[in-house]
Amino acid sequence: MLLKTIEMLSAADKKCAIIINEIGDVGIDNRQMRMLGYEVLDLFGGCVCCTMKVTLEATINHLLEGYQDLDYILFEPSGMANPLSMYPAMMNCGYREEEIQNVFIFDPTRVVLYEKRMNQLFNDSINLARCVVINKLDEVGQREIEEAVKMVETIRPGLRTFKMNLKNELCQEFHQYL
Amino acid sequence: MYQEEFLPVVFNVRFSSNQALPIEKWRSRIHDVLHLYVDQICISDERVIGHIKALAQIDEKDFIKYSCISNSNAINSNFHGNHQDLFDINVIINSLVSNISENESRVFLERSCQALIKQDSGIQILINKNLKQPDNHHHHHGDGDDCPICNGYHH
Repeated sequence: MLLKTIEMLSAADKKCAIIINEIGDVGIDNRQMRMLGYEVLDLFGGCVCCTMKVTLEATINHLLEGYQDLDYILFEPSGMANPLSMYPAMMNCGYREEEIQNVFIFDPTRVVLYEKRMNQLFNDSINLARCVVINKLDEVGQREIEEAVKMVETIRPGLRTFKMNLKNELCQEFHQYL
Repeated sequence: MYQEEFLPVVFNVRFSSNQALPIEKWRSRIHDVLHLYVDQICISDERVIGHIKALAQIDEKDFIKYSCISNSNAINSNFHGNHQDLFDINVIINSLVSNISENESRVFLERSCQALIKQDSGIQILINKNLKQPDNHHHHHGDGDDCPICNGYHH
């Protein structure tokens, strides 16, 4: 999703920076991005000693100072992190809530996990999301997809939801929405 | 918010062979090891997989990335690069699982590697000691030094 979004923005001549919060993810995603030819700054350095808020705020400020012609900052937090904890950092950097385009990528293979173990994170994520992308349509049955849609609808009726298989291209509808 | 519950563990694993093997064969062998590793993790219902990711580094630009994010044991892999034959391949495994100790995780990985070696005697596997690990109690910078990100303001 992140790579496809970068490709889409790049094709539109937009300059973007990416922040990946790799909690427990030492050297995997950043190495992959480097090998794909992207410039990667190890701002987080694998450190989880700083609070999410302070680290994220410092990272965004560093990017804004160092790269003044940025059009977008794409931020992919760890799937274990509650997005609610990240909003204060972004807003302290001068972003208004309406400028934060929060997309929740809903992996329907995790329906049970979200229902039973990570319900708070799921609730907060849906409540903050501008839209939801239900991914991995090829890996689950219709029942799981319907369950995923129902879970979103229960919390935020009417929230824009896209169904995609991100192994393929971003669907046209979502492309236009972005 | 769930970081305390899930333990991040990193392994650096070197796969080697007496003869050069095609990428697809390495891809399949590494997949087998990860599959066995995930199987053992999933024996206990108490354990939840946050993610298990691995990056097999072929050269500066080519890699195979593996990803498993649920106990249903589906491991996805993507190969990026050119097909070639290799004598060895280095794999970084990052495992984020709840209710497991680092030692248990290592034992599961060692058993998985042993099972592959029994199945394919031409392959050797060496698990190196962990790479730099995130740790809630230590800084990546020296104790007493300011954090280079926030200059120590979080303390």
